[in-house]
Amino acid sequence: MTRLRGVVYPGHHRGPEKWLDVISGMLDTALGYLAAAGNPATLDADASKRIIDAEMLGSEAYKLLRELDGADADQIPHQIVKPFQRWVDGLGITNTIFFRADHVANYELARFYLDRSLNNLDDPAPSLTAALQAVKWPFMRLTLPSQALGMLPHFAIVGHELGHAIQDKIQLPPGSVDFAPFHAALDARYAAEGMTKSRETMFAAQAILASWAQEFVSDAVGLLVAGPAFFFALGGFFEIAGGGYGISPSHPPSELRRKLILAKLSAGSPSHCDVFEAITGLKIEEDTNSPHVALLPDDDTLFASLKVKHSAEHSAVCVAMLHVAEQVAHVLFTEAETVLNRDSAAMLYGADRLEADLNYHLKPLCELIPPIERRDGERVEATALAGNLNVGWAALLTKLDEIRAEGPPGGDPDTPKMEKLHELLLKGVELAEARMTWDECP
Amino acid sequence: MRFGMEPSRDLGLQHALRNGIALLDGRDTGQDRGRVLDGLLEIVTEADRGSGALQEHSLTFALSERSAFERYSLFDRYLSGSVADLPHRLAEARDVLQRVGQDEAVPPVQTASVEDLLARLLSALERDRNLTPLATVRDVHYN
Repeated sequence: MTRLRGVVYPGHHRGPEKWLDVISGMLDTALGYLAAAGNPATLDADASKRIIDAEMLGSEAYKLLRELDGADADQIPHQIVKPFQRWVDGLGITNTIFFRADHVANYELARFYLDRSLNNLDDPAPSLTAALQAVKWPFMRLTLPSQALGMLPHFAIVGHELGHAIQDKIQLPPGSVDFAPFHAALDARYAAEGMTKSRETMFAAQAILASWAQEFVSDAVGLLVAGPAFFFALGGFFEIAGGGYGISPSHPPSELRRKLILAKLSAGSPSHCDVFEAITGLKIEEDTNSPHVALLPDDDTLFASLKVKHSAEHSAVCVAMLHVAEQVAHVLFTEAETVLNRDSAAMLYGADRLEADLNYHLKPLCELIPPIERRDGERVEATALAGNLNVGWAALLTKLDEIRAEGPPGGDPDTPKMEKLHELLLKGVELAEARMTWDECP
Repeated sequence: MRFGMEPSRDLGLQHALRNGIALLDGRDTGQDRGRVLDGLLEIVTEADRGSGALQEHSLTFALSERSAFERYSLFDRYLSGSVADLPHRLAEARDVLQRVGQDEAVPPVQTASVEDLLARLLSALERDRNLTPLATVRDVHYN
């Protein structure tokens, strides 16, 4: 604990410190149980219980310690922490949070509801009570894959993860979706397979619908705060994550998700897609940056494929859910737009902002000038993280040849260009953040 | 993704159940009575609300009531095989705990029924914990 408290966390973020305070409080409480067990006045049966309790609490504390792995400055570039904190603040997320990197291809927002358990502990140590009160629960942890640390534009997926933090604000209005096609498809599947509906079927259907809906909401939030950068980053993630169709009890299929996002990017006049194509020459298609995503087969084939990994009940529900998924997603995308317009309008990355950022920064970026600020007459405005990510994707997908960077002879010529691009974008993020901090000084 | 403690390793839950049983039995828990009742009542009330998930065609319940759904799932997972009409028992438990909290007289038969429900859950959690294999050396990381 002493060593971990001495670690420098990127951006001097207070999240890890509060996490360690909770763990210290748990350990102090466990030590109190051991002290009570060692007291000669304690009955043997009570002493045994106290010892077992101390073991359980100590063991949970150890598990929680491991959840902090990867949060130190060695693994996360310090430049990105404050800009992401701006996204957190801009979306109205007030929960205590910390960031960490993991060595797997996974983005994740974990929400820890430890208070629900720890508030019920007997004889909590004063340090535990204080630590629990100092946290805005649920405690959140944003995980980024270390692979993505090589290319900043991929961080656009963080918009999706932060969507999970506000998903409870974006609900499916009662009666907004007709679930009859789901029930019909499920009944037909059960009849064809000779299965009988049970309480587990209803639980599975509710849990799967809730999980898919939360993914749609988070996709909508990612799209609204990061624009096309989110579409490209998500497609890139589908590519590296593999996973076939992407459909599971926790996630709707990849093909459907990118189709829905592209439909939103193509809406309006000019749309994000119109702007992107006019400036870069690239027409955004469903499979742009995700050419290998598997297309969904017919229901029977999909059911058979899902059954390899999941129970027949879960597989049947997933396939039937596809019959209403698009309807559910459309309602939730609209709800998300309404909520963000109402609560976080400054976070919306519209086609106008995309146009301004690409016009101002794309060419200079090819001349190795990082996107830091935009001048409009006398007015100077620091480039927001979303602008940096979109300019980065535009350069990555359409201008990589123009980036001047050379690697060792015989190597892949794109690798040094990508490294240079990442370096420029990271520099842009760092200096834009410095500019914003300067502007905010009284 | 939501993270709570695995129920069988959730010491706070087990303390809430242990203290609740003692309190209904008229024994001194050594803990703050109000805190014990509030904690237990929150668990039972959420689970009771979560039993709405059993309504026919109530597909969106877990979407809007995730926490209640998970609480009910906990009781369902451990007690569905041994307790008949779980939703009724949860509603009864919520009612009894509310009345105990307000120092109202509760018929002993109802108190005993709630004690029985809580004891069955506590026992199931302890059995689950005892049957969980201990961590092997390979599961423990020292960095």
